[in-house]
Amino acid sequence: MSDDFELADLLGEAPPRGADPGFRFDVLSRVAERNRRRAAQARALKQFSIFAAIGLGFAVIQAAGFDWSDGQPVLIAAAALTAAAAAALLTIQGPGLVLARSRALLRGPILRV
Amino acid sequence: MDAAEEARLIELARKGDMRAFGKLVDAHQTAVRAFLRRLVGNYADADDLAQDAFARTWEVLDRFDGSSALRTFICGVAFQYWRRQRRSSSRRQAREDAYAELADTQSEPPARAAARLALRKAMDDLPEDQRAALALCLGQDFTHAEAAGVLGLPLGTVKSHVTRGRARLQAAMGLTEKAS
Repeated sequence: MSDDFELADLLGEAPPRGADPGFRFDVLSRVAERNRRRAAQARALKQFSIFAAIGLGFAVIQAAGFDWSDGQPVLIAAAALTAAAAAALLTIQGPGLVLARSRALLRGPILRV
Repeated sequence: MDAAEEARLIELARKGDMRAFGKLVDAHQTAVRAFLRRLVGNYADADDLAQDAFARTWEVLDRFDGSSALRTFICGVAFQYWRRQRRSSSRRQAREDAYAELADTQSEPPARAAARLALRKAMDDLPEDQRAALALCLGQDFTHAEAAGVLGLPLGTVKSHVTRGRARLQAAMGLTEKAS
């Protein structure tokens, strides 16, 4: 009983020598889960920063004395151009591609993590 | 696994190769799980901690400089996890652990189960570092020098922890005089 191995064995039997595939699977699942969680946190932080910056931008513009009525022609022109571009793409390439392109445009420069 | 193969797998794992990391897990899981089983007592919790330690190792593999063995590095991570978990665990958790340990002993002869529980109680009463040093060195899975690397302690301190801890465990089993 005084033997070190006996003490060690009583404290907790070592798992069998050799690889336990179940244990490996559990470890890799945890790694993947942690990676997913970290990526989601980074994405959330980035989106929060972007929207906060946009909100701050509006506040700064308003504080600088810029009124909505001043910017209305520009906004209307931008909206009309966007609608025309979407309609053109829809005509040429079909609805699926337009949606994909819009998603890519949104994800690419603005929301990419 | 030889050192060159291990270094190659570490390099691949650093680049994000999960298969290579899986091989490293296979190579070192026995030592890490055995260490934690002796430290924690409850096998399910020990394996849970071991999985967390391996998952964390994946994240901090860049910090491994090769000055020690990889299993020493992983056991160091596992030790930190255990210490953190122990500090945050409540009395309720300790009671649940005691029940779980009791369940582990139910398939054994009564004398052995009693010895196991007495030993576990003595182990739980030891200071953290002494307990970890014993868990590493008792089964002779780790040398004193390796244990010093895992725990971040001087070699002499680890040797002293092992000698005194062993004496206290033996005293709890009624084998020798209780050490200081």
